[in-house]
Amino acid sequence: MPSQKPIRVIRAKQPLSIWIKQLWQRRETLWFFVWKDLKVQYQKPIFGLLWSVFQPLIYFAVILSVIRFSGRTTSETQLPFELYLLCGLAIWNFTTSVILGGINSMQSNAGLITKASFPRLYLILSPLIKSMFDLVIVLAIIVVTAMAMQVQIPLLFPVYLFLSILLVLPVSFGFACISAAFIVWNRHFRHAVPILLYATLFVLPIFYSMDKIENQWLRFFYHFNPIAGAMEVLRNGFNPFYWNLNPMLAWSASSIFVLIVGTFFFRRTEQTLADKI
Amino acid sequence: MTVIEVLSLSKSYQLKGSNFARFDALKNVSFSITEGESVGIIGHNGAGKSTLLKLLSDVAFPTSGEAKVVGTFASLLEVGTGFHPDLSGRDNIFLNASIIGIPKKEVGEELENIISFSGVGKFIDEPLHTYSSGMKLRLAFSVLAHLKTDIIALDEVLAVGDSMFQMKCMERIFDFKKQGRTILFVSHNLSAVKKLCERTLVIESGEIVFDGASDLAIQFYLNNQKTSGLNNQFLKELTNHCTTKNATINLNIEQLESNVEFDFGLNISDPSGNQLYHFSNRFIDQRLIPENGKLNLKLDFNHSLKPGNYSVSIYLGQNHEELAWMENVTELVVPPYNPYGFHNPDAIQSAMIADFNISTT
Repeated sequence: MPSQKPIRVIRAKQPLSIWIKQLWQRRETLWFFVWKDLKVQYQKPIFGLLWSVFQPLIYFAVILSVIRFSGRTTSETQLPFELYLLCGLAIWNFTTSVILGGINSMQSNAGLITKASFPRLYLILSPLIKSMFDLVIVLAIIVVTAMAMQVQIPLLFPVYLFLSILLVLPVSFGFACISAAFIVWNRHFRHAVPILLYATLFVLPIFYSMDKIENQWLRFFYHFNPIAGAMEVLRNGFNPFYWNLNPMLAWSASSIFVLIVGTFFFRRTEQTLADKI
Repeated sequence: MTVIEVLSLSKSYQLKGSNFARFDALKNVSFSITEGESVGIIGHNGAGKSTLLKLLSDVAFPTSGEAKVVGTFASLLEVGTGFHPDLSGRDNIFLNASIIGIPKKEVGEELENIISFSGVGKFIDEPLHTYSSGMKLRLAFSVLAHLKTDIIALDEVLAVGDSMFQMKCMERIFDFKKQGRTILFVSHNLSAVKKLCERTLVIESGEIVFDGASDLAIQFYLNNQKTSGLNNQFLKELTNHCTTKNATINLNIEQLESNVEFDFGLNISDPSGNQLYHFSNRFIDQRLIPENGKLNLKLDFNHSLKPGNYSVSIYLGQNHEELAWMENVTELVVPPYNPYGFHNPDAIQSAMIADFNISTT
């Protein structure tokens, strides 16, 4: 039955419709990428778990000690500071691991890119899905900490949690795509990306509150920063009636904007990926 | 029915550094393949064979032109794509198959066959880093051996592994052919191409220079050892002709200083870079003096190389100074024959053939 055989057309420019169709058709390969990463990490389950939460917990311990020992006040936040910090770090850790995971997987799979055909976006998506697993574990730690500190967890908390993930997901994905595209364009950028990412640890309201910031430009920056937004939404989950989420629309819009720009960049690079990498 | 239709496909790469220069890896390539054909693709290193397969496999995109592929297609540009050392052999079968584009369901149905074909036995659940390189190869090939796609494209997959493995692979590829599947076979192994394919394309500097019966194509390829695209101010033309026992290499050299002593060296090495022959006019005390800045050199020698491709590197010097050192500037192709009259030349592992006797004493 020749009419049933798939017909594939090879052209200089792949139409967007086919690109999306392949993204869906080959999804099994994406699961295999994710499954491989998880299986390799969780071969020794204790270590697997440890590596998932290692970075946020180390940062948590360091920042908390620095602030405590330097005698800084931690009372400016609505939540207990430990919880406040953990929420910020959970989101920050997720974003950085999506971006770093994306560029690492582009590099470590350079051999695959020149030898096999599969939607290249999977190289960004599979570390993203894996980072989501890690995020779930960190969130579980947050919930346990909240219970231990006798902070009440409102019924609406899951809704806020969901909103927060919804905010941070597109922007992380978008930045991962943009970074990957930059690195393909000029591989020296791979040294710059981690440095810039670690700088954001201080730029984002992780261990301070953005309510206290008076500078107009900084406030503007936070109001259009969906990562800061996701942190704020997550923290609000513990206190749903204290609403300071007015920039929600701006956060969502900029998150979607980064997603679109990132996808666009990635698709542009994808066409020449096998030639350049 | 036509299953592959290629219409003036071109691919050019941007060269880095040099003022947006472009390198044309494929120029206006057109051909079509009907269902069940086995088509060989031969040509020098860098002639564009692999580029063509990459375009057909969706690994890279063409610069212009179009191709249409009807039916399911799997390409093996490498053996064991995506293998992960920390996963077991069994897991790697699924991973590798999925990356090539074979659904999990299909692999699951064939899993027992794949494992038994690979012959890794009880090691199948051990992590891959405990495997020998031979075991990895066998595992990778057994995934390929159970492919069910309509079209199979193979790039130099036989260049690896020992001769037993190569023979087993070849048998399997012949099975594909018997099942009426379409095969694209890129290889430097001319005797394998001759055996497997009734039709062969010869690619030279990104163009198809011959498309026809394999016998004629191989003949054409061997008779056309002229190296094009020489990018050297001194070496203007380089041709070679090689038979099973002798080789002749001709060089036209220009823009030399007249009446100043000239030095010439030529190396022949196997694909892994081992030098097999080294020739120079100095070894035989022959003085070369260019007239009007030109020299036409002819190098003749007897060789005892087994059939295959060897790369040629050339040194040019004048007045004890280097003018040019061109590594792997062309290929010497020893035509397929049966050394010692032995039926399976692939089983001979050395590059050199010697006259030998074995007697009982």
